[in-house]
Amino acid sequence: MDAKYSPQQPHQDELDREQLAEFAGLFEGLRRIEYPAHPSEAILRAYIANRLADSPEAGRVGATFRDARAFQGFLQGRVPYWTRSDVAIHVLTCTRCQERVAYLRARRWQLLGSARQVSTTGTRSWWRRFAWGALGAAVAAVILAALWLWPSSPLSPACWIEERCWSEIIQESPTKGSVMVVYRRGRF
Amino acid sequence: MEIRIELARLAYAENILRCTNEPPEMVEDLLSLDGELEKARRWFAFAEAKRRFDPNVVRGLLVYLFSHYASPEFDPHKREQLVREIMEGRVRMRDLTIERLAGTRLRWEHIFRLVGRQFNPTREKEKIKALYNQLYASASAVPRTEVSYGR
Ligand SMILES: [Zn+2]
Repeated sequence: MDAKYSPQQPHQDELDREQLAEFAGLFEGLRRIEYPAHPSEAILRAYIANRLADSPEAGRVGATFRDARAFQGFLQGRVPYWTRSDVAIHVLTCTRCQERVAYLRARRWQLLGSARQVSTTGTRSWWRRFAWGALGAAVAAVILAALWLWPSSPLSPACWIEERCWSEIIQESPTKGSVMVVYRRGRF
Repeated sequence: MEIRIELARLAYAENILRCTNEPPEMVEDLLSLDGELEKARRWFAFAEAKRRFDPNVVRGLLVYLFSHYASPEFDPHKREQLVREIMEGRVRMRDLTIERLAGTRLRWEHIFRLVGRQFNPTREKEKIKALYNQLYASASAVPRTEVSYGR
C-alpha cells in the first residue's frame, strides 16, 4: 500500500473505519480557560498568515520547552513573546480569541479569493490582448504577402508607359540641320 | 496548574508535528509535573517513532488525531477552507497547528495528500503502540505486557 499518493483510494471502507479513537484520551484534559491577557490583532494576523515563528531566535526548537524559565512562563500564562505554539494553544482554549481568529480567517480568505479572481481576470485580458495582437500581425502579413506575390500585371497601368511624360520638338540647327530635342515634363 | 501541564503536552505534540520538538528525554520531567507521566510518554512514543520510522507518516497520524479529537465540535467552514488548501497543495504539515486542525475532521485522503503518499493507518498505529510498549512497559513500576490507549 506504500504507493505514491493518488486520488483513488483502494481501501476507502477500511480507511473510514480507522478512526484512531483509542488516542482520544490524550485530549481529555482540554477545556476553556479564562485568560487575563490575549494576543494582539497583529499577532493573530501573523499567526493566521503563518508568519509567526516557533522561536524568536534562530533554531527550530519551539521556545516553550527551551528552558525551565520559558516553561514556567508558559504555565503561568505569561509569555514574554508569542510563539506560534503559544498562540495556537491559547486560541484552542480561549472562546474570545477563537471568534477573533475565525473572523480574521474569513476576511483573509475573502481577500485572497478576490485577489485570485483579479489575477485570473488580468491573465484573461492579457491573453485577449495577445490574441488581438497576433490576429493583427497575421492580417498585416497576409496583405504584405499578397502584394509581394501578386501577378506581374498591375491593377492599374503605370503612367510613364501609357501617358506621355515628355515632348519632342524638332529644332533647326545651322550646322546639323533638323534635330529632335526631347524635353522632360515633370518627373521622368 | 494541571490544565497548564495538559496544554504543555499538547504544545509538545504540536511541536512533534512541525518537527520543532525537543528530544523526549529533555522534556520528560517538565511534561509530567502533574504526575501524568504515562500521558507524556504516549506523546513521546510519537516523537520516537518519528526517529525510527517514516517521519512523515507519523506526522500524518498526528494531523488526523488533532483534526478529530482536539475539539469536540465540528467546524464545517474551517474544514472547507483547510481541505481546499490541502487539495490545492497550498499548505504543508509544518504550517499546521493543533488549533488550525481542531474540529476539521479530515479524511485519510487529505492526510495522504499532505504526507505525499498513501500508507496503512492501522498498521502504522500498531507500530507506534508496539514502540510504546517496547520503550516504556518495562520501565513501569507495574509490569504489563500491553498498554491500552483508551480510557
Ligand atoms: Zn484569548
